[in-house]
Amino acid sequence: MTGKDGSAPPAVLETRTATRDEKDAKAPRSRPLRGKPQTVNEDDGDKRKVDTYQQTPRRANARGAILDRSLQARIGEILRESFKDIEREPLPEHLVELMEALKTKESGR
Amino acid sequence: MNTESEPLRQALLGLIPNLRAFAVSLCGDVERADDLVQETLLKAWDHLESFEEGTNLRAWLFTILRNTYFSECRRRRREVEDRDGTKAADLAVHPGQQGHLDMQDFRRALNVLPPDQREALILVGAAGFSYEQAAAVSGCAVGTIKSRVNRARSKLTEMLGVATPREFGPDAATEAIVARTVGSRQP
Repeated sequence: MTGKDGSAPPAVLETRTATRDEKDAKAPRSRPLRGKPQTVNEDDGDKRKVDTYQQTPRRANARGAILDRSLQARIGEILRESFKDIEREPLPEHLVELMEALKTKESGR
Repeated sequence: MNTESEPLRQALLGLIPNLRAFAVSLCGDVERADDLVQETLLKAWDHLESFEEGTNLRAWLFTILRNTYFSECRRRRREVEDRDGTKAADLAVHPGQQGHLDMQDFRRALNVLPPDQREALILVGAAGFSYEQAAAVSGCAVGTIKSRVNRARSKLTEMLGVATPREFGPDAATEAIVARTVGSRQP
């Protein structure tokens, strides 16, 4: 079996993936309803608090939020650049003529 | 010349480039924008006595221009709102293929936004108005402007099909900083 570009497929595809039941046996089926950390006993007798929320989605969310802020900032930059570009353009002839005409009209009053 | 209104008229003429940038950004069509500026200028010039001294002349001009624009849109009924997202879907392909977003892509995406969202984004994000001033220009509540700006930003990001900041231009450093920041926060 080869990949689209003719290279060997990633090694991960050759290994047997865990069945859904096996995965379910390892991971909690769902996160607890309440977010209070649970206290667990470790083998050495030490007690520590463990956040029972799933870690991976939280990391993904944090990364997503930071990327999102970065993108929003970039959108703002491009928006301002675009606006300033237009502002720097020379005014079209008919607007310049209109401005002159208005000035003349006003001075004639 | 009327000496009382002369400084005001001079200030008005000085604001034309700024007003034109708003018009082009709002309607996405230079010729139409120039017509809008011309119409706004004539209206403002003839009704300068209705401008309240001490208030924001730029906001007043922007209000005249946007009212003219939206009245015209209603009259012509030719404003196309992309409610089904068809245009957005077409557009999403383009920057992804090039892996880089240029100004043209951005302007096209801006033009696909619903006019009210585009207006709010331009007023706050480009013209530098506060939410309160933008709300006064648009004649709506501050919360409405905030909501429109947020929706516009989200839609732009979605339409441009951006997955990483790199696709917004040559900004690889940003992602490196993001990766480090996220990494340092992980337990």
